[in-house]
Amino acid sequence: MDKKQAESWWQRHRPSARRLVQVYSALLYNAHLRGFVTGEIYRGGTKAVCVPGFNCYSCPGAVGACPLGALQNALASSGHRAGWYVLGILLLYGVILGRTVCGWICPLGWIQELLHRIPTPKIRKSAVTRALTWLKYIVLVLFAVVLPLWYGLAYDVPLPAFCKYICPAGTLEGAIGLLPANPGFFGMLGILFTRKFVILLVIGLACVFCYRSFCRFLCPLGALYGLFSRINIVGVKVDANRCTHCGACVTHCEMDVRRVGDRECIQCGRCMDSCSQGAISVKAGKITLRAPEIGCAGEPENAPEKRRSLARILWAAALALLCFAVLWYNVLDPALRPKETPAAAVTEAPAEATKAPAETTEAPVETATAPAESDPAAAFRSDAPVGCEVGQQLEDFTAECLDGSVFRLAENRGKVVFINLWATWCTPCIQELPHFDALYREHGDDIAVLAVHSQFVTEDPAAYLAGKGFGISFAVDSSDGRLFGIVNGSATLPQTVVLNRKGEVIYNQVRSVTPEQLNALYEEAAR
Amino acid sequence: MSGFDRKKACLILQAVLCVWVAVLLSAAAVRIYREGSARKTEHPLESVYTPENAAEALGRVSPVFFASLGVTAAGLLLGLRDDGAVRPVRDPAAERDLLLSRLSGTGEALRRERRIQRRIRLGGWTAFGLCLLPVLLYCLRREHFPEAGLEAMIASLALRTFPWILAGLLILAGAALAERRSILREIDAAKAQLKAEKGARKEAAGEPSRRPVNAARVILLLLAVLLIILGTVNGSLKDVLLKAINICTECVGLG
Repeated sequence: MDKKQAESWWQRHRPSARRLVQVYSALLYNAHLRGFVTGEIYRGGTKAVCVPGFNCYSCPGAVGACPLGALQNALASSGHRAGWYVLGILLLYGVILGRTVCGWICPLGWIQELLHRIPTPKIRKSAVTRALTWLKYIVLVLFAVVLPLWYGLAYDVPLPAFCKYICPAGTLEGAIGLLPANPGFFGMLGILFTRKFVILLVIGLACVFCYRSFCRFLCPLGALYGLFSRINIVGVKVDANRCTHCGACVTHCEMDVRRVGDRECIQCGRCMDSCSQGAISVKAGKITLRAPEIGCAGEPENAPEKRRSLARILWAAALALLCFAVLWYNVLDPALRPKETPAAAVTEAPAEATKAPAETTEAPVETATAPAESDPAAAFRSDAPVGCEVGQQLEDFTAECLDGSVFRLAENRGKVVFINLWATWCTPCIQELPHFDALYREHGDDIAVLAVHSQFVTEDPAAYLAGKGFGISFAVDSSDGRLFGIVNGSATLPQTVVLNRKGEVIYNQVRSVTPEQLNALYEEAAR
Repeated sequence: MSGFDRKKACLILQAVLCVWVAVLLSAAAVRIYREGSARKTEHPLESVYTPENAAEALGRVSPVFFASLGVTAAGLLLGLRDDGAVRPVRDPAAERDLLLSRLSGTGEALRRERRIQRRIRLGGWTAFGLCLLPVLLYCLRREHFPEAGLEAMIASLALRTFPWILAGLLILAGAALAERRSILREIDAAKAQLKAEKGARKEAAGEPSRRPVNAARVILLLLAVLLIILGTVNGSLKDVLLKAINICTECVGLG
């Protein structure tokens, strides 16, 4: 390949400004790069801000929230609190950007375009694909609005149905993104993962053959932004005085558009290349962001030069912002510093912990230090080191329960102890609570069950549990996450810890448990 | 074999490889799940998926995957692509609009086709609405959405509603095809009329006023800001944060 050929190849393959913006936004949304190595998600304050595009907030790199996930959760909890914030932010993005988000700053859109570049025979748009575009509105209504709203209002069960049953971004960025660094998560994979993995493959395959299949036929976020197609400020605009209605823009477009800027138009601006009249430009209000080669009507002669200078300045500022974001989210952010937890260190002197003098408990959760003489189950004392791994003895603690009683681990020596970490906003947690209760009722005094709610509370757990008639003990973790720390709890729920009669950990895993598994665990622990 | 045929063969080979990779991966996932479920029936504490069986499955798929990757890289370097995909798709509606913009008026033939198109659209959308009616009725019955058994609920929902939705979309597609035929007839009529008028050009309509759009933008932007402030005050901002900093294992498909 000589120099001329190489230059020609580069001319044909060099990334467009839109592609660079797509890569940039994907990087900016996922600036917590160390998360991909450590397998931990970012837990800082910027996670409260919804990003405009489709980006799973359980992705190890994500530094913002997914607007669609946030919308479903807001609808699910609308019985307690109206999700004004999410509605407001979606409205803001819709009015300012509309489907420009899809064409320029959606990471999932970028992935779909990359898949479509795989050289295979392609399926072109037709009346069938145009009809299929209505499917995304049905998905929006059914999976992103009705099901979360219904289950939230009727049963108080958070059910983000689109995330759970369809979303390919969650499977790709969340599940598959988290698995390599968290081999323990393999234990919780089952039918849900299998089904979503197959859905991901089908959607991926569809994108290879049919341009932006997910975006066109299934994406509820695109459907939502499409509602703003007549009013969005930033996007592709047509100069009516130059337009000859030749239709070249529509015939060259790979989306199912009827006219430039309609509900199916992702405002990518590729139609500018096909418009011989130079009637199409990308604008933000009256400011021209990208003009046709012949320039915009009524522009001064030096306008293109000014635009290029402005673009250079904007790119420099954007790159500086990206560098700062990468530095902040990976090195500087105080939220990255690990919290000191009592269970962090494994001590070799277990007896010390239980023989130390007792202290009064002012905080809801506190390490218990009951004297040996008052220990009712001294015969079951273990010599195992203190820790939360299997085979270790769990550090003693006291927890103030929601019903006013106090749960002391030391007093439950001789019993099989189940500690369940849960939260009201965690669907699998809520679904498995009755299993713990049934086990407790079946085995009576032989077991003790403590369900510890995460320190992160969106609704009052006591009010949530009222009237449900559970017999097991419930507590809420202290604001410093002390109890979660003792059992090595994390941001991932639910988690179950099982202790044998000596207080030794026989099971400590993040996953849902079935009644059969609970019975098997009980039998193993009771041996 | 001509150059064109070679190119087509490469594209088809790549398509086969892509489908093959997807089928192998799906089959591997289903196989792991089925074997794991059988194991789990006897030993409830065993995991369905393990890093070992996942690695083994990926190992089996990897030769086809890397072959597909190699063909993709070669195809991209050589600039291989389906030329049909970048050819413009004829849009009769746009073509019709272009012709109509040159006509001084609409004749009887054009008006008749317009009436037919309106009826087709109306019929299509009515049929689509009728197809969605069973979906709506299904969704309105409380017993279809029980508190427990979400998997069964979603399976039943898919089974009972998706065929109706699909039927509705197919009817819409059929209506669009019928409308297209009518538009093609309209184009012929417009061409004939244009010939008769010898290319008389209609006065270009001025650009529609942007004033209502701008007012709507301002109102909606103010509303958005108001909602965000309200959300910050009522705690829904904190709710978003709490959901985002904790992993919802079900939401991402972990289980």
